[in-house]
Amino acid sequence: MTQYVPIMRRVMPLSVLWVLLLVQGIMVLPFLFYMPLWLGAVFALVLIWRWRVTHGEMRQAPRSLIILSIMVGIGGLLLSGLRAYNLDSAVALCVLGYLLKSLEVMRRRDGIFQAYLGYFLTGIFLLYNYTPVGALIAIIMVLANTLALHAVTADQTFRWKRGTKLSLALMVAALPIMIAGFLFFPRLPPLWSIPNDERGAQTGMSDQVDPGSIASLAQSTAPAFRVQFDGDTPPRQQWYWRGTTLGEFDGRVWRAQFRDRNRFQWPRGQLPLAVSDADQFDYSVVLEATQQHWLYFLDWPTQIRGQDVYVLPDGRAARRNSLSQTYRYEAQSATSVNWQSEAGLQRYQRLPGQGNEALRQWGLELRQDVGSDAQYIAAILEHIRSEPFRYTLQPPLYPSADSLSDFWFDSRLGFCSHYASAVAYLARVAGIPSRLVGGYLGGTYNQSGDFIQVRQMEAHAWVEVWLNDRWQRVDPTAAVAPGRIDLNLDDWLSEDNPSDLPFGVRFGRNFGMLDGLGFWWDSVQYQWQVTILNYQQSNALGLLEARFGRINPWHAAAFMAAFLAVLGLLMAWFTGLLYLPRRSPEPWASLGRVERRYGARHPGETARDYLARLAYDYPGQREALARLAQLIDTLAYDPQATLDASRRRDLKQRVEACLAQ
Amino acid sequence: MRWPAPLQRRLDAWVSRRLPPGRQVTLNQSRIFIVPTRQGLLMLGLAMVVLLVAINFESSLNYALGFWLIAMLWAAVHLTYRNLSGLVVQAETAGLVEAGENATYSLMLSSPRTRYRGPLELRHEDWGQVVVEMDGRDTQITLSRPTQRRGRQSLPRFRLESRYPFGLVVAWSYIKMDLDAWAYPEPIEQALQPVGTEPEGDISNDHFVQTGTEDFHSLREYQAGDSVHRMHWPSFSRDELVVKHFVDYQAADQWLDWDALPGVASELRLSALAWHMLRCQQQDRPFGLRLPGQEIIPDKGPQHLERCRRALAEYGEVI
Repeated sequence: MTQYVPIMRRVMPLSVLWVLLLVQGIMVLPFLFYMPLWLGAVFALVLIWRWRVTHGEMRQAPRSLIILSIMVGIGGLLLSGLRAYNLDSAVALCVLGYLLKSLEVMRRRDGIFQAYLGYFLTGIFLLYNYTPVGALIAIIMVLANTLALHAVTADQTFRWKRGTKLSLALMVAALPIMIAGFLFFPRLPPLWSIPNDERGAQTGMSDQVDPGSIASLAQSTAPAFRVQFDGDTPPRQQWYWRGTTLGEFDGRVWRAQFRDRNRFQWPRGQLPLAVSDADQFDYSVVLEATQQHWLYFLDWPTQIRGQDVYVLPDGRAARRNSLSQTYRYEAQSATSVNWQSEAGLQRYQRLPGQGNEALRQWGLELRQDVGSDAQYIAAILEHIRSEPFRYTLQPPLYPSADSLSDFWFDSRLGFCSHYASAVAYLARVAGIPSRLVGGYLGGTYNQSGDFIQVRQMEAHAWVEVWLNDRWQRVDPTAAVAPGRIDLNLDDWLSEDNPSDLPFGVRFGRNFGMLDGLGFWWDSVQYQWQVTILNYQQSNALGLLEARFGRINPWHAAAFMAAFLAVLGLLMAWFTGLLYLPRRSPEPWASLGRVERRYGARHPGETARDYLARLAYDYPGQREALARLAQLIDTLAYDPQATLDASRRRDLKQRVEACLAQ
Repeated sequence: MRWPAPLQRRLDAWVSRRLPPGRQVTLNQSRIFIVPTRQGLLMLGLAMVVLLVAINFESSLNYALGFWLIAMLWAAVHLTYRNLSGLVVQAETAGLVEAGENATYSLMLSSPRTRYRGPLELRHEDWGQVVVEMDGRDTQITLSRPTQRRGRQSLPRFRLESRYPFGLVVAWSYIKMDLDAWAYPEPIEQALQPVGTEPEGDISNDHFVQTGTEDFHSLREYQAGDSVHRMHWPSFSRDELVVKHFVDYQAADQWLDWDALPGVASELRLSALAWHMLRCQQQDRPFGLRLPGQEIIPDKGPQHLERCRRALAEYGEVI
């Protein structure tokens, strides 16, 4: 007599514990790329304990082990610098809890808890990695957790092969509804703002530039954003993608007026952008997650369409929430704009009271030598061109307070930010309003995807000066390294100075095939970002409405009901709940026709007996029935008899003879 | 889950109306109930949380994941339903046991369409849970439950449920089989009193004479069909047709008679008869059973014992 044990409290067999352990491994592994490595140490601790459990020591982990694991976990958290309250540390805690939970997984309830937490972690993982590869990993995670769920339910009867098959079947069967939900569920705005939504490191242009900051970006081949033009594409030399405008200088670092730190003081309401007075370009940008706020535009933006966008007064736009996902927006730019509404220019003339005295003197003397501000700027560029300045990825550090002077007069080795910084400084010395612009220059056109891909490597800084009542772009890099304007950094460097290139880039460049593959992969990623990641519900709805007219809720409900009904039938058919009646083979099908006419055979009655009985009951058909009986006998019992075309015809004729009145 | 008593009664009545008993029960859509389990509802809650993450973090892929989880719940309904759909439960045999022992019932699970149906759980408070794995072939199940009293021991309405393969939904049916086990009374010692209707001398002291072949007993008149070998030839000379009559000597049979226990309550009488049966069986003596309206002629052996016990078990019950 067994006592009824509530299902959730039943102890799981060893085989299921093994499955759960494996699933846990699968879940934790991808997180190790995003989480501090000490999580691996905790996993090892857990693994050792589970190993003992699966080898017969079926009991709860001792308190000391639990405390040790918690201490290793929390200590690791603190040591890894995840002190702040943000998403990273919350997720790290979550993964830690997931690991420690398994110390006491014994009963079904615990197993189910583990699987459900696993599903949740899959969702969290997708916040970190939303590339096609990440989606694949997530699918594997879902499969693993579904398998765990199955193993817990199947208990003693669990078999790997059957379990995997059933889990896959469940996932595939769920696909249509998943797709429908994904397509038609409205994309709601966030219900509340996430306070510290930081996932991984910041990339891209920051809101301050010190002389060395851009050179580090140039080491990375990771994509920054991808641009697709609607209509004309501007010429290659004009691919200046502005992101941050840095107008405040303290002698060493250029800062933006509106920064991450003061994002709650950003101007409210939609500020007007500059008005175009030349040819325009329409384009859409898919920006990779930067964990920053800045959006990138072709010089100079005149219109921006995107969710939650702030236009800032210095010719740029930003999102108040940091970009923790790929983000898509549409914009319009013009090569020349009307700056009439520009105000507050004195802000762009301020200089710190001291530092870089030598450069200041040099600038003032030069200004006195030339006739106008425009000539002054031209003279500065000419100076760069004629003197032995050199453009390099590995400039010296210039640590002193007179870093600009040191660069300008002594070593003359610098990256774009050094040149831009010096030129903007010199402009201000002469009273010309000037500012640094941080962004990207160039990009690679991807033929198969028809978009331009801009990598971090294309990071660039240039200068804007206020001349003739308009902001004008001055790029001192064009003076020192004219090739850089036409070529991407790696192309330019590999011609000019290959040893400056990062190793990974040099390696990749030697394989033409890899390059082609790279283009293909970039285009896949772009499509992924546009169609999946930045999917808006209106896309599918618009398509439907264009086809079927306006959709009201009744239509939607009817459509949904029909969809579910069809799906349910299909599912029933696949699971064997519903089956189509099968035709019985000859000669039984022919006998069936006779039976439908004259009544069914008695149980146990042979075809011959049956037909003989009919012949007795219907003397008029005796001959035809006898002929049919003979043929049916032959077909049914003579192993040599085959049902060829002539026999088939014969059979049909004889049946019809019996059915004829 | 237990409902308040009046509701539970009405529910039970409804179930027994809807699912009548039979020797063979085929589970189809009118007999199978299916609802999400608590675990399944939790999955739904989890999907909502994932969707919340999707909304708040504007994560497109989490929308997909959330809907995937919901859709998996939907798909699991089909996979679980098919475990029970088309299953045939057939009553086979049920045992005869002493009251107070466990009665066993054997059922056969079969299905016209072979398919793996996972572990099925047969639940009743009398036996807790019995789990059988049904992989398409005919599967025999033995259920066992304690008996409290003598008489008919119907297999109670039990719950056959399946949560396989994911535990997200539970499909079940309440099955009432037309299958009875029987419990004979517990033997209780009680002296039999001689029954007055039979003359005392009629019963040999300790032996019983039965027509046989072993020992010569007497002569009797010839009857057509008697063997020639048994003719008593000396009498033939006297023109008498007489044959020799042989007998076998056996232990004296005993009639276990309902009336031999006057003034005893009827259940106790049955117990006493059961006790005497057991003793006769132990001493290898034949016995007969006489109950009101039923008589089993004296015999011995386990089959006879079982027959008599069965008669005791069935006494007073509507067959």
